[in-house]
Amino acid sequence: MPDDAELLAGDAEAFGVFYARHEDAVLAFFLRRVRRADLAADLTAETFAAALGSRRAHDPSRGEARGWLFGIARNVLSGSLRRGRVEDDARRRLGLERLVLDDAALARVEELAGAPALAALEELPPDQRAAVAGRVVDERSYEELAAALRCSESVVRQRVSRGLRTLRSRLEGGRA
Amino acid sequence: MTRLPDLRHELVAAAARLDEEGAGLAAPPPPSPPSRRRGRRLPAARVLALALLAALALAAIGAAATGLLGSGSDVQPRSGKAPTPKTGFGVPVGTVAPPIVVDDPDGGALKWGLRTFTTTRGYACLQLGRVQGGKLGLIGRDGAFEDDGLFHALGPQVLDRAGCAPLDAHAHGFLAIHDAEMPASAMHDCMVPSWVHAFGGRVPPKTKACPTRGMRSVDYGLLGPRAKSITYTLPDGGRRTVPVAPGSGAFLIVTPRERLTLPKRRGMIARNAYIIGRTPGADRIVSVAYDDGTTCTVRHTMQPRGGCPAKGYAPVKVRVPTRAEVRTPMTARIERAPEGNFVLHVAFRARVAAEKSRATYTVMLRPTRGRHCHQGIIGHDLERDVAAGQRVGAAIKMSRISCRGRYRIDLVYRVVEDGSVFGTGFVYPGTPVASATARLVK
Repeated sequence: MPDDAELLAGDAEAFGVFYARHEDAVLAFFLRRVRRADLAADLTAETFAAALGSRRAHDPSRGEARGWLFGIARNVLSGSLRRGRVEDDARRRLGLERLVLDDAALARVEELAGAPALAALEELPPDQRAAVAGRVVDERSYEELAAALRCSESVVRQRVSRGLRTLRSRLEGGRA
Repeated sequence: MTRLPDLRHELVAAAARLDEEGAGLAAPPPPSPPSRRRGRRLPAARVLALALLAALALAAIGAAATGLLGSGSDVQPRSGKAPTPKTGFGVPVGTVAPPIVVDDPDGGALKWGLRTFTTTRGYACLQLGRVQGGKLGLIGRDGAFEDDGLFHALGPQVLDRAGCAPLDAHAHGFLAIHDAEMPASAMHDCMVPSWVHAFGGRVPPKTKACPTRGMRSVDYGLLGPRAKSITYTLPDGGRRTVPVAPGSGAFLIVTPRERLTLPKRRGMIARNAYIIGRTPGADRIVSVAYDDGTTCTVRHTMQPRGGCPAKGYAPVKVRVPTRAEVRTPMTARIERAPEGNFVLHVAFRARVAAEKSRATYTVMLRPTRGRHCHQGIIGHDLERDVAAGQRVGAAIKMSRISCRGRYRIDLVYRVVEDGSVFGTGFVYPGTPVASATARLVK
C-alpha cells in the first residue's frame, strides 16, 4: 500500500486516494470541534484544497504527511474561528466553489459523530498515532510498519498497544 | 466510496488541472527587466521571420474569407498509437453522423462543428472543430500546427483529441463542457488569457500565450435522450433557445468570447473559464427543457454532477470482485529503452474479465525505499479489453521514472465509478491482484 508521501508526490488520482484515506479522520476532527456536519464538511473541503495547493511543498523528511495535513486542518480551524466564517481562500485559488451538501451527504458526515475514536486518534503522541493509524486504519502489517517507521516490529507492537490503551481510556472517560 | 464524493471529484479534477496546466505555477520564470526588454533590438533574421509570419497570417485570412483554407496533414493521435476496437477509448460504433454545425460568431468563413459518437469500448465521445467541405478539422493558427494557416482534418479515430465519458447503463452519454476561451484554431496549443493572468502575467518556457483577439466561448455536450432544448444567454443579455439533437441531446453553442471576471489574486483561475460536468454548470446556460414538459434552471457549479439533474441517466452498477477472485501471479521487469526512457514489462493471466469502460487492470509503480527519492506513484491503466483467462503482457513506457533502485509494482482491478465524467473514471485504489518487485539500474 503506498504511503502518504508517495500519494502526495503522485498524480491527481493519487491525491484522490490521499483524500479518501484521511477524509473520515479530518471530518471527525472538525465535527468534534464545531459539532455541525455542514461546517465540518466545509472546513474539510478547505483543508484538502489547501493541502492540494501545497502538496509539492510537503517534505517527507520533516514529518509524516498525516501530521502535516492536521497542521493545515488546525490552521484552517483557527483562521475560521478568528474570522467568524469558514475560510475559502484555498478553494478560490483552485477555482473550486463552496461545497453543496444534500441530506444524504450530511447524514454520512453525521455518522462520524458516533466515531470519536478517529478524532481521539489525532490527540495521541505522533509515534503512537502513526503506529495505530498504520495498523488499525490502513491495515498495514507490522513488518511493513516497522520498515516505514524505521524501528523494530516489537516497538511497533508496543506503540500500537499503548496507543489503543490510551484511546480506550480517553473514550471511556468521555474525553473524546 | 467517500462520504463527500463530490469533494473528492473536485479535488482530483483540480489536481489534474494543476498537473497539466499549472506545472510552472510554483516557480514561474523571472521576468526580464523592462528596461532591457524595451532597449532590445530584434535580430534581422527574427524580423524577417515575423514578416513572413504576418504574410502567412494575411494569406490565411484571405483564404478563410473564401472558405477555402489550404489542406494540411490530417490530425494525428497525440499518443502516436493507432486506435483499435479493444484498446484505448476504442473506435466509433457504426457510421459516424455528420457534425452538428453552427455559424462562427465572429463572421469567420469556417463554421464550428461538433461530432458525437459512441465507441466499441463503451464511451460517448465529443470532438469539437471547424468545418470545411463538410469535414471537421482544426486550423493552423494560435500556436497550433506551427501557425501554418492550413485546415487539418480531424478524423473520428483520433480519440485523444476528443472528450469522452463512460456510457450509462442504457448506452447514453452525459457530458457538458463550457470553455470560455477557445482559440479560433479550435484547439488549445497555447496558454489562454485566464491562465496567463493566474501566472501573474508570465508565460512558462516553451509555452505560447494565445492571442486575446479571435477567441470564442463554446458550450457543447450530450444532455441525454430526454432533453429537448437548451436556452443560453447572448452577450447582449438576450436569450436564445435552440433544440438539441434527438436521442443524444447533443448541443453546440458558440458565441464571442465571454468577458471573464479575473480574480485579483495571483494563482486563481476565473470561475467561468472552464467547467466540465455531467450536465451544464456554467451560468451562461439558462435552462434545459425535457420531453415531459419540465425545465431545469441551471445553477452555476463546478461540481461534476453539473447544475441540473441528469434526466434519463441510467445508473451503472458494476460488481467489485473480491481479492480471492482476482488474485493471480505476475512477472515484472524494468528495461532501458533505446531513447533513454525505461519500459516496465508486466505479464499475468487474468482471472476476471475487465472490459469496455466498466473495469480495467491498472499497474502502479513506486520505489520500495529511500526517502531521498521523491518519485511518486505512477499509475497506468492497461486501457484494453481483457477476457477471463487471457494471458496479458504489457510494455509500459515510463518517462517520469527518476530514481534507481528497487520498485514495487502493484496490479489492481478497478471498476468505473457511477456517474463519472472525468475520462475513464475508475475508482482508486481498486482490488489488489498481484505484486512484484523489479530493479532499475541506470
